[in-house]
Amino acid sequence: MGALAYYGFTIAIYTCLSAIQALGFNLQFGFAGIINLAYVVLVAVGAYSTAIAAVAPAPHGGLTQYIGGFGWPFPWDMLFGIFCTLAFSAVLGGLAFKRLREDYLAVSMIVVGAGLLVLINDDVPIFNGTSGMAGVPGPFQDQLGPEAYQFVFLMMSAVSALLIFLLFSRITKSPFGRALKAVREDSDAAASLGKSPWRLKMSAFLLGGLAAGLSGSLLILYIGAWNTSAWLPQESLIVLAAIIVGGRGNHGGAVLGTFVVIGVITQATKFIPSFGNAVLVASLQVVSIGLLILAFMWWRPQGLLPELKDQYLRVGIKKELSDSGPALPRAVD
Amino acid sequence: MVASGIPTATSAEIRPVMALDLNEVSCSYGGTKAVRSVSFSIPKGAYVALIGPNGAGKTTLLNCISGYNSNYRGRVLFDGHDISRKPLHHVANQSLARTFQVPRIYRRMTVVSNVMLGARRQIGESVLGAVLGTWRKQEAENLERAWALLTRFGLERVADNYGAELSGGQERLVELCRVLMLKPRAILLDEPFAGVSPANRRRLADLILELKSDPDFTILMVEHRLEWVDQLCERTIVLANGAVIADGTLAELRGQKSVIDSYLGSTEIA
Repeated sequence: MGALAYYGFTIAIYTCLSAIQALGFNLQFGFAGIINLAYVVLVAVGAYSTAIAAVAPAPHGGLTQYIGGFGWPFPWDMLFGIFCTLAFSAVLGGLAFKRLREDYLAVSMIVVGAGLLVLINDDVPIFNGTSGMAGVPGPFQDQLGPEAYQFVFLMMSAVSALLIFLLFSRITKSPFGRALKAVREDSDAAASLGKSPWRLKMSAFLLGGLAAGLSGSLLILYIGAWNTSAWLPQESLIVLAAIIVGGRGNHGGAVLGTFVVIGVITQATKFIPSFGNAVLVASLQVVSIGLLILAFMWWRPQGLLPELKDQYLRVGIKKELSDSGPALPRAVD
Repeated sequence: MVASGIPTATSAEIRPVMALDLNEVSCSYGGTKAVRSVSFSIPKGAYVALIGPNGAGKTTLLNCISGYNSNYRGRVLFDGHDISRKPLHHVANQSLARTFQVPRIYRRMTVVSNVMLGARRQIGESVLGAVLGTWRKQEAENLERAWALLTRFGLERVADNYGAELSGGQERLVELCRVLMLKPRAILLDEPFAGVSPANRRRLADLILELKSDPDFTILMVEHRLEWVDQLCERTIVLANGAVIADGTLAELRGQKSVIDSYLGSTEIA
């Protein structure tokens, strides 16, 4: 495989896995209004737990240290990663949503992310500190050639992204999606109508966690290694940018935003010729993402694909209404 | 019912006759006592008005009863169940609904969606129900009910408009439709006639009176327009400085000096 083809496959796989993250983050932020600035932490939980499930135990007395090391084959390592992310999301969401509202929740999530980053960096025996986990075997990697492996992994990533897209679309077109939006817009008014904001937010948080776990798990299976540099706070910023650019509360928008921000802009900025000090160009990439968020918030806050107008009425309801007698009101047809 | 020769109470006889029972309810904001040891009972089927000057604690009291504010002392019973300090959604699911002083319409959702949100125990509001797709038949039934309510208020023309496009009066009507979707047994109405056009005020009053066809349906209503209080409510409670200062029919209260001094004033025209 040529270098360019390899690069193309890599970008396509990254874009698919980032789209899964964006879909999960969009469900939390775009539909339920949860400003989870620690979303990348959920991705990291999926990645680390998949790693400790997939690799062999750490050699006793060696330099490499980590918990677990079960040596489980695919897909058990991936399922373990998703399960751990869901369990972590349940604990984090359970604690956070009981007491904290919007902006306080956002700040708390930043603190949780920063705290865990320090913990994992400094407490080496958990996930091997700053060096992180390495040597994680990819699915069927030993049975496929390099080209076939790239293709199979791309298909796996694309199908996963498509399944998450279809699942979340189905869920949000139902009364659940309507109730989520109600909690996002005014949780007290929703509660006055008998909706439990805690239950709805937890459900959205867990679904978002499912997507994060899946994405993190596939990421580490593809890369084969993972350390704390992969889940720095700016990684959440990039996913946030994808939602702002694509369109909050619109699954198609999340995917389009991922393509624009992760597939195009972050890649394009990598071709800026080096100038100034060594980290200037890398910093400018982050600055460009920040400017992009600001520009969209200012000129097109609804994003490229705005939130759809109550789609649920158009799905299946017409038939039910015509079967049960009265005609569908014209105003909502 | 007689079983084994021993007379026992039927289920109808042991049902509580009081819809709402407030016992020594007090609420403070910082150092300000907004509600002071308020106690009263409202029998089932009663339409009761809560009046008083601005800042008397009327809305705060509704907030305490409905669970919007859980930081209060005292006890609140609804239909014999203790709902003291229960969360807002729990109280709503007990069939005690409320409207707000400023209507809380979902501005980025359509009118019909706003109303549909009121339906209780929706199958599609759980993740499992949403995934399985078993909600569609129930949704169609709810849509029929929502449409009937919107038509009742002449809102069918704006059913597909966003909440942000409504006038203040329309917002209040949509909020009431939404609450009625809950099929409540009692409603706490906070200034239901404020900002509503004269024609719609009449419609609203007619609907509120229509609800009396259920002999157990109960309303506690905060309202400043005494002509509507007079027409709709058989009993009025006057609140001033957070405490109940009078309780009776509006006709009786009009002659009471404490009520005139604190609320009605000498030039009151009802």
